[in-house]
Amino acid sequence: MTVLFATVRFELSRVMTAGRMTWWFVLAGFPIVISGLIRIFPMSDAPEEADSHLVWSVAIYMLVPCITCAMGVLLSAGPAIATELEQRSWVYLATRPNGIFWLLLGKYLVAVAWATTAAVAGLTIAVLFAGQDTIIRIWLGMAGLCVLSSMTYAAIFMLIGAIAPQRAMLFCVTWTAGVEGFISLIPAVINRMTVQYRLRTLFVDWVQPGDEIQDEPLFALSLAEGPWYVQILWLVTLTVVFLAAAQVLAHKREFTAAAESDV
Amino acid sequence: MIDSSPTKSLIQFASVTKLYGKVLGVNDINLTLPQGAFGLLGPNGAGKSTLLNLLTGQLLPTRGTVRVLGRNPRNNPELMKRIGYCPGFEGLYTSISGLNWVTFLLEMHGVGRLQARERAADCMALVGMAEGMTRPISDYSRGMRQRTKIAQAIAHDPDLLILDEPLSGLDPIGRAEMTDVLRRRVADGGSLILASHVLHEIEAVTDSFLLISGGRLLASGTAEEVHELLFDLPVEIQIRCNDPQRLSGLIMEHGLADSVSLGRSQSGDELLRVATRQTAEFSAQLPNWIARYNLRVDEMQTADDSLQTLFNSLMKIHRGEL
Repeated sequence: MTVLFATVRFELSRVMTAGRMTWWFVLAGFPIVISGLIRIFPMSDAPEEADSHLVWSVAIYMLVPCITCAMGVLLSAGPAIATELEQRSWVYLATRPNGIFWLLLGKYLVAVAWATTAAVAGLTIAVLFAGQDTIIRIWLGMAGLCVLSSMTYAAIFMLIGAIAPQRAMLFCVTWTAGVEGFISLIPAVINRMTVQYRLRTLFVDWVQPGDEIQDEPLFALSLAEGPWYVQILWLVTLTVVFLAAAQVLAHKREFTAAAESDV
Repeated sequence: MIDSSPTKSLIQFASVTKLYGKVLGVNDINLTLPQGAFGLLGPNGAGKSTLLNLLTGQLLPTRGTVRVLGRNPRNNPELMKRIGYCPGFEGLYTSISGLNWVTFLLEMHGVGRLQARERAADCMALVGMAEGMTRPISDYSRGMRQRTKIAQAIAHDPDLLILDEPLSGLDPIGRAEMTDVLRRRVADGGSLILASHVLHEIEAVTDSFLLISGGRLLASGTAEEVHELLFDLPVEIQIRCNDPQRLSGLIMEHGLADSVSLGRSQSGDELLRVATRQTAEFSAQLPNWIARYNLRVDEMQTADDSLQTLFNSLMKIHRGEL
């Protein structure tokens, strides 16, 4: 554990740079700005009070756990291996006892912390724009979803980074758009393997945006059955599987910095 | 040649070949080295870095087996505790200080934070970085970065130090200081593999070496041991005299040389280069010619004691020129 603490502390010190902190504020500011715009420029056919809760909770769900968290871990976990390889620092860590294992785990935890804190900071202010009496319920539900979203997406992006470090960002974006954006909405068995399927179910369960959303036949097919803890178990299982696969790949592959020209 | 009992060996390569796709990294290397200090010598692209990556477990051999201190180096945490590695490239985090970096790498060995910081500071001082160690690495000169790289390699006091071009980028004073650090480690019983394409860098630390070229191990052992292999090879003698044309004619006339060539020294003087296997006969004849033909020999040099001669000879054998 000493090594894990050291790795997390070291990685945290590396993200505390002006550039990385700027990105953190951009991420945190994204849902705040959009929510502010929604508040300032309301739709012409302003919804009734009940609909307003539905609109705001769906909007915040899309803005924070879906986009901000996914973007946050995309920026931090996706290139985790690639950056070490590109700046040729990988070998210093790989030649330490279990160095690759601790490095990936440390980077994963820091990526989750980085994205989650930005998302929750953005959520905390964005939710104020909702002006609902359900603010606390929305905040609590969304904060929980932020942790789960960052945790699972970070594991997926770590795995993609281990598979294709040089094209990690591209493949991460493609995965997010294709699998989480499109496949998760297909009302078929395949969408049960996506993170969005579980997050969406938890969103409906925790935030309770309204019965209308569950009465929509298409949307109803995009929600899982079973209690909330089953969905969390799914997400935890997916996280462990993806992280373990990333670890195995990183240990199996020859990520040497020696190019053929260096032989 | 170098050999040792496998159980106490430093490194063992058994028929090791490494291919990068169709490009050959190293080719069928068989080698067993005992504990000690060895220079890995070879021109750029010879396969030195591949060999070191195989030693540190960063690469898997395409064929054959590698053992370091009796263990497979691939994903072996126990072995990594006993190895210190300084790669040939930089790869340092520029935003943090050298002290913090070395401290972190020590912590990755399970050393507690305070102890790691203390030990890191000692090592940075040992390599002459006491003054600059708290500054960000981005402020370091190339020589300071090189010293920091050496510090991280020795900080956890490894049994085996593997260094790839550790003196490159250092000024003469830095070279002397780092050479001294390495010499002291060797004198204290530490084992060392030092890769370089510069011969005198290796000679300054050890007289045992491995010569690698084109991915093949050409020779291994001390200079004397390799000499024994080469006793039947021509010795190159360089002569600076007042009439090199005349002297070359006499040498060829008596059939005492395999080859004779004329060239110029760095100072512009004409030089006669003689490759001969009959050094005794040549040495006996030369005074006679000097007396009879009024020759004046200003300088005669066989670079025979230098590793450079060995290196040159082995490279010529490898290229089929001898």
